[in-house]
Amino acid sequence: MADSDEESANLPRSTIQKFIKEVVPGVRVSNDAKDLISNICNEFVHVVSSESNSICSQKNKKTIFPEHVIEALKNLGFENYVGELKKVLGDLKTEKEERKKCSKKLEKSGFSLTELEQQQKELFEKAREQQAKEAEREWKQFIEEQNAARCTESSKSVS
Amino acid sequence: MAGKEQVQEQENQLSENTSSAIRLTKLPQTRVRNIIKLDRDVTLASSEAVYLITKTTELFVEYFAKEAHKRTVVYKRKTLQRKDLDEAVKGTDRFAFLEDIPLD
Repeated sequence: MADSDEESANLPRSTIQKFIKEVVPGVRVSNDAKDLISNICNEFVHVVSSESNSICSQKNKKTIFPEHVIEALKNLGFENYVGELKKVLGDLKTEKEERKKCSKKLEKSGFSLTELEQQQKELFEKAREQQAKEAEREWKQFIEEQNAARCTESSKSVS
Repeated sequence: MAGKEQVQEQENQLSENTSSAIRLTKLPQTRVRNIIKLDRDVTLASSEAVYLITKTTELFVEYFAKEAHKRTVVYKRKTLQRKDLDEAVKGTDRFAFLEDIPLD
């Protein structure tokens, strides 16, 4: 459907409106102003991605990478955003590395998540059984010791 | 056809890592990615590139709305109107690329 195609390639107006409310709180925004801002957002994405793609092609790459975007922004006169963007990108990379570490551990085991869960269940079962056996053994020992103590006492009293 | 499949697979791999970034922007990255893909010259954009473009758009809109709002305040209005945005565009060189944006 043409309509849904168009919609999916536009930023949702409701989200943009919410965003504007956060940016200029307590200020009413007219409907045509909201519409214009929505269109501006879409246009901005086009302009930045187009410039990023030019830079990407110039460098003979097929995928647009962050460095292409950063250079595009400098070319478009938005170099003052570069500092903050580099920082958030750094934060994102750190988070990705943390996630990679966790998933590597999972991969190294050679088992799927379900298999690992099953193994964990079995380990817990074994541990419970062992604990139960240990408790039974200790109880038996305790009873024996008690009996032995009673025997000694009664033999003493007899003599 | 093999080329298209390869591209799709690469896209899937690239977007796997998106989940960590996906919550970090207010504007939806999937829509931004769709807008980027509309350009036929674009083959692929990494998830980090999409994230950066989304973040930049947020920064831009914030700046632009605040610039327009300054005009609202000067004219002692409580409602930000289209003419405030128009004036912000004219008054800032960097916004020149926005001059011919039509309303739908």
